[in-house]
Amino acid sequence: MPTLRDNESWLKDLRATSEQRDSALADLREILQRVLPRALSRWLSPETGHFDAFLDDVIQDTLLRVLDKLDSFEGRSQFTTWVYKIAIRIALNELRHRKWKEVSLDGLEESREADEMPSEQFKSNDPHPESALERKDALALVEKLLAEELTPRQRAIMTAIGIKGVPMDEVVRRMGTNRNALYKTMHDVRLKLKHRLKREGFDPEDLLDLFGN
Amino acid sequence: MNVKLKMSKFSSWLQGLFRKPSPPIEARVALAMLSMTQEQELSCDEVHALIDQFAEMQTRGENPAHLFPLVQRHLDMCPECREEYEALLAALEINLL
Repeated sequence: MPTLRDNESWLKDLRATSEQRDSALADLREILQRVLPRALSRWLSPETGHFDAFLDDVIQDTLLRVLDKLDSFEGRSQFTTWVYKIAIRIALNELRHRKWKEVSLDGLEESREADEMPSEQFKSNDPHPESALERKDALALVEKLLAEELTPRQRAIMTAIGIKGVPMDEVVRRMGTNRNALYKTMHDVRLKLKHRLKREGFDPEDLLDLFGN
Repeated sequence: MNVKLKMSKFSSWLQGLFRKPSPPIEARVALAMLSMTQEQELSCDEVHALIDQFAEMQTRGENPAHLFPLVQRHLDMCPECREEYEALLAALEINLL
């Protein structure tokens, strides 16, 4: 059985040298071996082949990251809860990658040109945008905004995440960025679209109602 | 029904199978995303920093969404963070056994 420790003891032991630290790491390993299989069972059955190897890899990566990030633990939760969240992120990230790695994601791995804004043709083609908007229905309006406000790459990201259900972790892996940066970028994009929609005099909820949502 | 008509129907059915997501789906997804978009949102890393405290409060039967509404909003928006949160809750439940 692992030794019971409070947060302070975990930190002290993991910062100690040799024996004390090895003992604390062994205890953490044992706790993770007990907890993770059931915590992850919704995504991966412990009966699956190679489960033990997968678990060992996750635990090893977790312990390394825990030691690396020890100074960032602020004591807002139990130390073990903090360790679980690190292990779970590592495990689910890997499982998402395994599930999606063979799937082609159009438009996400292209050159930088794909991230340039579309030309002015969308705006210049219509000599009377105000009256044209009145004629168009909600669908055409949204289509127009997506075409004008989103770069091809941003649109590809939205399609991948929103329609194909690709996890953000896999999208960022293909793009060479990270989940945090992608979320922030997409938040900026969503805000930009929402503001534009408001300037055009529409509310997304009202338009969604038109689609019967 | 003559053969030509049958082939024509079969052909349009086959094309339908391979058609890309139609624009209404894309527009609908965009609108659904926009309807949930707020001026202030936490990023995945900001939520990750708070999620252990949030999950422990939930496990104790408290109402973490009341104290951290932005975390709850992010969990409603972000499938990856929501999955990680649900796995964390499962881990804490095991701990209680």
